[in-house]
Amino acid sequence: MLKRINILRIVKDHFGTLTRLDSKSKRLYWKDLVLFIGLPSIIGALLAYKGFSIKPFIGILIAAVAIFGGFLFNLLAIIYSQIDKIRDDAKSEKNELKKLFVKEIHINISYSIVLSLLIIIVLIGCTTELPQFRYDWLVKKIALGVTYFLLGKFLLTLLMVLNRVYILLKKDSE
Amino acid sequence: MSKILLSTYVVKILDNNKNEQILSHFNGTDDFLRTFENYLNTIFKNIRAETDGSGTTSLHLTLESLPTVDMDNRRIYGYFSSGVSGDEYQIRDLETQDNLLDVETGHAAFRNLFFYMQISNGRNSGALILQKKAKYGIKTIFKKTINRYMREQGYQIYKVEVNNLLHGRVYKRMIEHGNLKKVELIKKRIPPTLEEYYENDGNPEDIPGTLRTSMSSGTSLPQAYRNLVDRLFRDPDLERVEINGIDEEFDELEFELELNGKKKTFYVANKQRIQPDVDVTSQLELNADGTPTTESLLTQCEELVQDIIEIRPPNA
Repeated sequence: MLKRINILRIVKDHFGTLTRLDSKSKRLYWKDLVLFIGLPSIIGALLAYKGFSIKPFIGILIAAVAIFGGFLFNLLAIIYSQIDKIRDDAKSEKNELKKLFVKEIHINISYSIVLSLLIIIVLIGCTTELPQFRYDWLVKKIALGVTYFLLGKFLLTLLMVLNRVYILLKKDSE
Repeated sequence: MSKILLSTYVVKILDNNKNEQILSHFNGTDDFLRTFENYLNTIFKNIRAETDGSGTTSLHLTLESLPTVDMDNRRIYGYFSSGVSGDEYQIRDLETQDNLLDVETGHAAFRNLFFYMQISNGRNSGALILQKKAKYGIKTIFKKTINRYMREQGYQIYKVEVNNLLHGRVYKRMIEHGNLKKVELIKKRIPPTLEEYYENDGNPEDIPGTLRTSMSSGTSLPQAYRNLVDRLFRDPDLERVEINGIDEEFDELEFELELNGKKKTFYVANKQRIQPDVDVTSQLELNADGTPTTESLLTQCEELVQDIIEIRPPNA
């Protein structure tokens, strides 16, 4: 039943795009690990520790992420409509690299959409009032840290997608 | 003195259907040599400019002086003058550090580069030789400006192609009659990220420094090396170079051949990298200011046309 909504493979495939190209190992490239996991984790932990509240910006953030999410859906549709053409180009140019590049962009965009959905859910969650209990401050801090982490990751992934689409179009126009 | 390179090209005119035209009477009756002469006269009067790929700098092309037209031998030669503008910088005296000139975006530093075009009657290709200084060449701007000129003249369906020369027979002649001056074994690496790799057209990068193994000789390397590079070069499917006795695979083997003082570098794995440049530095006579004489450049071009272009494979 859950197979219909299984997005874990998108996450798994996305992390598969963060491996070293010049290595046979399927492990994450340490630089990507630092950039996409380490950096957002540190920033998220730091902001949550300092108690930097996200509540005043929740409305703006939801709107912004929703806009980006919608835009990414559109981009995915555009990439899909182009995928056949790119595949033909890749065949005629014997350019397997281009095929791989487009495939990875598709995975990265899908992952960004998943992230945007997750962020919206977490942000909406941030607006709810928790019942008071002994460790409620800790739960709030963790939730805040996770939100910052997801926002940071979303931003970085979006930059990666932008960079990749830019390279793809640039190479195509040359 | 820096190296003086002459690059050899084949010039063709194709119509919209990619059909090759006879250059001496393309478009029915027009002689491309005359069109080329008119193009040269036009750019002599008005400097042509083209923006480069980044859109920030412009390349300019004109002539140093009117070209020499020798219709009896169906050739034209002279000096292009080409420059780059779009940047602001200063020119200083290296000893005194005095500022000699503030270069503005509207200024361009021009270099004179020799050219030689020969188009025989009734042929679908002509020989073009362009001088190249170190990393500065003019093929791209020449191709853009000649095509723009053709369109302006109403030749809408024709396109001038300027192609690097095919090297089958050139190689054969140089390996059989020339000297093998240098062999280099190169190990390369694939960049770690797909972005870099794709942006580099899927070409691995050279590992700088230590993994370039070089063997060179003032005269010629022994016959064994010649046999080795010849065997490897003739293998059409070779992507990586494996050499008996060396416990490692290499990505590229570069070697330099010299024939009558003209040097050329060949690549085993990436044959498409072979540039049309021939090093003629040692064959030139120099003026008092250190520049090569026009006569010696002309002689080299004539020899190149004879040695290389005229012996090209029939389908080139």
